[in-house]
Order: sequence, then C-alpha cells, then structure tokens
Amino acid sequence: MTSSSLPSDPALMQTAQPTPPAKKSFPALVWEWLACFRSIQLAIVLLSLLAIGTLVGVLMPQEGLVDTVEIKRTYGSNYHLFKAMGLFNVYSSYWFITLEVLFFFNLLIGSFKWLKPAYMSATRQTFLSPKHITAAKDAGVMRSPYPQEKTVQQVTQQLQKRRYKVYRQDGEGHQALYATKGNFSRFGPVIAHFGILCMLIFSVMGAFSGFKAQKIAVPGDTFTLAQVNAFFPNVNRSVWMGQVPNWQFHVKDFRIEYYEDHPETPKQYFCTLEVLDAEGNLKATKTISVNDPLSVEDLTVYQASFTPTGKLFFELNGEPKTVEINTQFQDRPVSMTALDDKLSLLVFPFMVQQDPEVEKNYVMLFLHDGKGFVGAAPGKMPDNLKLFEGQQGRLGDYQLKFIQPEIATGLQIKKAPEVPGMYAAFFIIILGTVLCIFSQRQLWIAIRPKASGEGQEVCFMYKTNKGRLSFTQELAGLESALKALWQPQFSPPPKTSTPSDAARKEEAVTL
Amino acid sequence: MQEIELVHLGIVLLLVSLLFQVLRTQWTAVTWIREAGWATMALSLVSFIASIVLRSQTAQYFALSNMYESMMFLIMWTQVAFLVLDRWFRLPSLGWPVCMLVLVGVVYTISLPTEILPLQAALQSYWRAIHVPVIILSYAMFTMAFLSSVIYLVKYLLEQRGGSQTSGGGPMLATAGMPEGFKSVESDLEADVGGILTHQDAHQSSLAELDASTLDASKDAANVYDEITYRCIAVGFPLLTIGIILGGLWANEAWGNYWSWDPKESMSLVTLLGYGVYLHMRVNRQHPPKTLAIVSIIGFVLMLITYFGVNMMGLGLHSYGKIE
Repeated sequence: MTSSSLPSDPALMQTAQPTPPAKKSFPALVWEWLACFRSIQLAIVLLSLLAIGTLVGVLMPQEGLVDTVEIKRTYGSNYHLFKAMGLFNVYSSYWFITLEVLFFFNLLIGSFKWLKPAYMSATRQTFLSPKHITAAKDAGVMRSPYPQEKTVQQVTQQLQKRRYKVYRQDGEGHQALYATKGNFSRFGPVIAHFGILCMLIFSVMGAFSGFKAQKIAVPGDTFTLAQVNAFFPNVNRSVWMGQVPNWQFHVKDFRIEYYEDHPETPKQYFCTLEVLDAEGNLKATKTISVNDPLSVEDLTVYQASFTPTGKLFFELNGEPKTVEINTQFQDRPVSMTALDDKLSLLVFPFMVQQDPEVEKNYVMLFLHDGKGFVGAAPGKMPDNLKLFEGQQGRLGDYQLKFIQPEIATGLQIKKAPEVPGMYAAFFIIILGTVLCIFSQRQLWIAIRPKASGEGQEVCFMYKTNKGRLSFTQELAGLESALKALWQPQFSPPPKTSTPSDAARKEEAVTL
Repeated sequence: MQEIELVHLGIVLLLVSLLFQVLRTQWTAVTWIREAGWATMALSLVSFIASIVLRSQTAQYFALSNMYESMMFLIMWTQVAFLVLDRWFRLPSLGWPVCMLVLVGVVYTISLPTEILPLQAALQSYWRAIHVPVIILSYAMFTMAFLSSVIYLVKYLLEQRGGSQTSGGGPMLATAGMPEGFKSVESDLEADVGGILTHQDAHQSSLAELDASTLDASKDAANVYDEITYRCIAVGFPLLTIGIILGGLWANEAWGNYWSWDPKESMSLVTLLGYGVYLHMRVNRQHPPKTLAIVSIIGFVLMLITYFGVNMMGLGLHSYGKIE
C-alpha cells in the first residue's frame, strides 16, 4: 500500500515526459554536487555516528564533570593519547564537531529536497483513469447498481463522513474522484528539521555572545560582573563578541528553609536580590529560589547553590581572619586559604544540619603543603583540629579560634540572548514531530458504466505514507458501508460484512 | 485500603489477566476471553493509579520523584499503551508478553525503597509533573515497540522455518487453521459488489479485519507486528523529543542551562538518535522489516541504559532516581 508498491507516483504518472538533454545551469550543478549531503543514507550514518559519539561521552569521564587528576590517575600513561583523541572532551572534540557540522548540512540540504515533494503531495489534486487504477497493485473494484451520478454522490458522502476532502473531475467516459486527508502531516519532517536547524543556529549565536558567571555572596554584599572571578564566556574570549553589563547586584537577604519533619534536608533556598544600573537606580528586585530565577532584560540570576556555602570567621594567632568556602574536596565544599608561602589552611565546614540531635556548626581544620596533608602517613589521619563555635586550639604553629560561620548564597548569572530564538526553535521541533505522528491518506477513484450496461464499476486506488494498518481498517469500513448500500440490489445477500461490522470498525480507526 | 495493598491487588489482577491472555492465544476467536483479559488488565491499572493517588496524598506532592514512583508510572503507561493498541488492533500475541513484562516490572519495583522522602528544592517545580510523565510515556511506547519487534522476529523466523504452515506459530502463537475473516474475504471475491481491498492481492485484506482470528493468524501476522512497532516508535519518538525539550526548559529555569551533557541527558540523546536512525531507515524503504526490528530492539536497549544504567551510576544532575 505504500508508494513502493505503486507503479509510480500518481502525480508523476500524468506529468512525466521524456526530456531532451539540456545544458545544466550552475545552481543545478551545485545541487547535483550536493546530492551526497542530501542522501538519507548519509543521515542514517551520521545519526548512528553521533549516537556512538555521545555514548562514548557517557562512558568516558569528561573533564569538567570529573576531576582531571582523577582521570589521569585512572588512565595513567594512556591519558595523553586518549586526550589527543578527544575522549575526555568528546562534545567539544574536533571529530564530534565535524559530525555536527556534517549533520547540519545534511539536515539543511535534505530538508530542501523533501520540501517540494511534500508541498506537491499535500496541495496537488490528481485524477486517475480507470486504466491507471486497475493497473496498480493497491487497488480494488466494486460494483454499484445505481446510475453514475448517484454512485458518485454515495461514494463522496461516505468519504466525507470519514473526513476526507473530495475533489471531482469529468473524465473520458468516467467520473474521477480524488480524496485525501492528513496532508499537513507531510510537512512534519520538514518542519522538525527546520526547527533543529534553527536550534543549531541560535545555539551558535548564543555561544558567541552569552556568558555565565558564578558568585558566592553573603547578605549585604554588592558586586558587579567585573568583580566576579568565575566569569565564563560561552566560547574562547578571543572570539567572544558579547557585552558585559555594568550593573550592580546587591544581596539583601539569604535564608534556607528546612523540612520540619526532616530537619537535615533543605526545603528551599531564598535570596532577596536587587539589581541596580551603573548610576545606582533600581532595575529589578525579587526573592529568588531554586526554579524561580530573576530575569532582567537578557540577563538571568539563578539561585544555584544546593549546598550551603559562605564565610568562616576565625582568629589566627590572635588576629581576625576570614576565609571563604571557595572550592571542593571530594564533592564537599571546603575553604582553601594560603597562610604563608608553603602552607595552606584547609577547612571542612559542618553547618548543614539543623537537627538539635546532630552536631552542628563545627569545622575540621587541616594544613596542606601543596603536596599533601601535613602529618599524613599510611594508616594515620593527618594533623587536624575540630572546633565548635567559640572554641580554640592549636594546629602546627598556628593558634586558631573559630568565631562563627556566615552562610552565603551561590548565585549564577547568565546572559543568553538566544533564549527567545531557542524557545521558538523548540516549539517548531515539537510542532514538526507531532505532525509526523499523523499520516497522509489518498484515494483515487474512477467511476465508469459497467461493460454489461447495468450499474457502475467503481475503481479504487489507495496510498498512505504511514499508518498502513489503520488505513486498511478504514478502507474495510468504507468497503462495508458501500456494500451495505449496494449489496441489497444484488443477490445473493452479503455473507460477512454488515453495517454493524462497519460501524465497529469505524470506531476503531482514528490513529 | 493502603497503598501497598492496592499494588498487591494490581499484581493479582495482572496474574488473572496473564491467564486470560495465554488462553487467548489458543482460542483467538472467543470474544469473552479477550474481553476478560483486557478488563482485568484495565482493573489492575486502576489499582496502580489508586495506589499512586494515595501515595501523592500522603507525600503531599505529585508522587513522581524517585525510582519507585517512576517505575510505577512506566508500568501504568505501558498498560495504557497496550490497552489502547489492543482495543484498536486486537493483538493476542502481544497480550501475554506485556503481562509478563509488567509483572516482572512491578515485582522489581516493590523491591525498591518505597519510603516517601521530602522533595529536594530542585524538584519543586510544575515542570516535574510535565517533563517526567511525557518521557516515561515515550519509554512505554518504546517498550511496546520492543515487544512487537520481538514478536515480529519470532513470527518471521517461524515462517522462514515452516513456510505456509507457520502462520499459526508455536503454542503461544498458534491459531487453528484458516481464519474465518480470511475465508470470508476470499468468498467476497465472487460476490457481485466486489471490494476495495480484494482486487489484486486477496490476502492483503486480512489486515483489514479487526478480529484476532484474522490479524494474528494470517500470513501477514509478522507484517502486522512490524507495522505496530513502527506506529509505537512513530508516537514514542515525538514524545521523547517533547520530553527532552521540556526537560531543557526546566533545566534552564533551575540550573541556567538547557543542556549540560549530564549522563542522563546524553543517554537520552543517544536513545533519541537511535530511534531517529530507525525512522530514517523506515522512510528510506531499503531495509527489510527484520533489520528494522533489530534496530528497534537496539533502541530499547539504549532506553534501558538511559533509564536504569545511568540511575545505577547515580552520576550527574539527575541523581534523584539513583538506584541504591
């Protein structure tokens, strides 16, 4: 029933004529040259390779997600070879980007290739003669006892009942009908591909002008993006073309809510923010939380920290010393602060728990000499100091007193000018893929007087691009309905299909 | 009734449904067996839905936040997909494998930690009730496509081995002799009115008969399951696409990134690409149904890795569903 089983596309059957060889134009030559890019086989190969490439990215540890030191330790001498092959940065590797570029061109050119046939098939009405129809494989002949006009009306009515659009044409000694529905579905793949192309284009645009910045801030802090150390343009700075606004961000308040029945589990993080322009005028203010960011023009501020971070106030040899929780050690937020040329102070804060039964607000202190923990030995805990709020103790040559912690919020500030375009592209992709679910159904019918002279011969040819099974069911329903109309005029009466059968089948068909 | 009691009731109903589905493969033309199998499956679905409603009431949030709950949703969506497909196409060979798979799924699910935990901040969003069910529904469609592909391959192999005698298949696939619908269509050839579907290739019309006695026993039975596979993937693919996009929108709101190449995200892309390969191969029309069935099975394996494999690793941003 698919087009492969037809002698040829009906639209072409009437129009295909032998053409004399002509000199090809330049665009035609280019189009021919690009034929390799519009091949569906290439699409299959590229999709498979992209899937394999992405799978490699899942299986291999990716720098940025896994600590480089850990990767080096795991892969030892093979590290540099694998690194050169791009296996630790698959998604930005030369071969993966090459695949993406090839995929882009395949989509672009393939979509143009499909557009014209889809448009032609969806908009053009074609009519076939009984000779054409009876020569086709997916065809059938029924016999009506009624005059031609009445038969045409009966068939048209039955088709319209099934939501077909029916077109009619006078033929030579016959009446030709063309019935179709679901034509919009032919545009589904083209629209989906167009959406993917838009998505790729907007993501590239966003890459060259967008950025991300991260800032740990305590209530009362005011900062500008120029003061943020963790500032990351989406691409290398040398090719980045974005602008950084000179606004000020003021953290008014930050609080963490905990579940009453699970005091160890943070329920939500709330941060009240003010955004001011360079002159100090208020542009926007909002209490943000996870899943509820603040948007100002094309800049968005997210409540990003899911674990408490902040500052810790100490006295170091009698002098006030503030350290920031500024890094991570084995997935735990820690503070690493240089004390002198050789030694750094490593502080593990334990301040999450709000349960009165659980120890809270204490720190574990270690010294690190750049190579390892001071005092570490096989099977022995390095030199350390555990301090609760207000306690003091000695670690190496240092006298330390833990005054108090100050919980800070982790903010992410993002500029993403591509967002409206990306959302539009997402919508287009969704629209295209949803359209793809439906099928286009076409029927060519020719009604001519029977050779015996009594009644009409009704020739049907049918085609669908998908949903073959439900289409066949629908045709069975149509056949039964027409039999119910025409059979009583003949003898013997029908043996199998009845109007109730037809009705039941009708109910079942609407895929 | 307690939540767990409802789950147990659902399991019992599933077992009854399995019995009817097995009987149905032997007595394909007996309507009440088919209807009883369908009804008990539907009742078990209602039981599972009730258990999730109760759980949601207890938790005071939409209970779809961990592996236990998402597995329950996968089971329920798979049941819905089967019930709809079976109502449309009458597929006796698909009934008992679906029952078996769902049963194994439920037994595994109740072995998972069922404790109701407070919701993490990142999960407190209306997106959770949109993104996750859509993704899981796509998984259910792929599960149906997988089963259909396996049945296709079994029927295909049986046909290859036994020629025309194999139309009924083995004990589970067997039907008795020439189906009634098929005979009637042949007799229609001699009727005065003729037919739309009977002109050139009479047995094509067996596809048109809804009754199991025709669909599942005809020489085209294998092709029917090839078609079912395609329809399931044709519905599952857009759903997965929509689910991934909705996830991207949520991620942008929660984390400030549409896409982070997180293992779960990457694997869902691999699954999408895998099924994209299937659909393009199908459009290309140069690949036999056998190859397409194998690609569909590979797609299902990728889906399993996305769903279970990544959760077992417990890595990345989607660690809520971590399997302990």
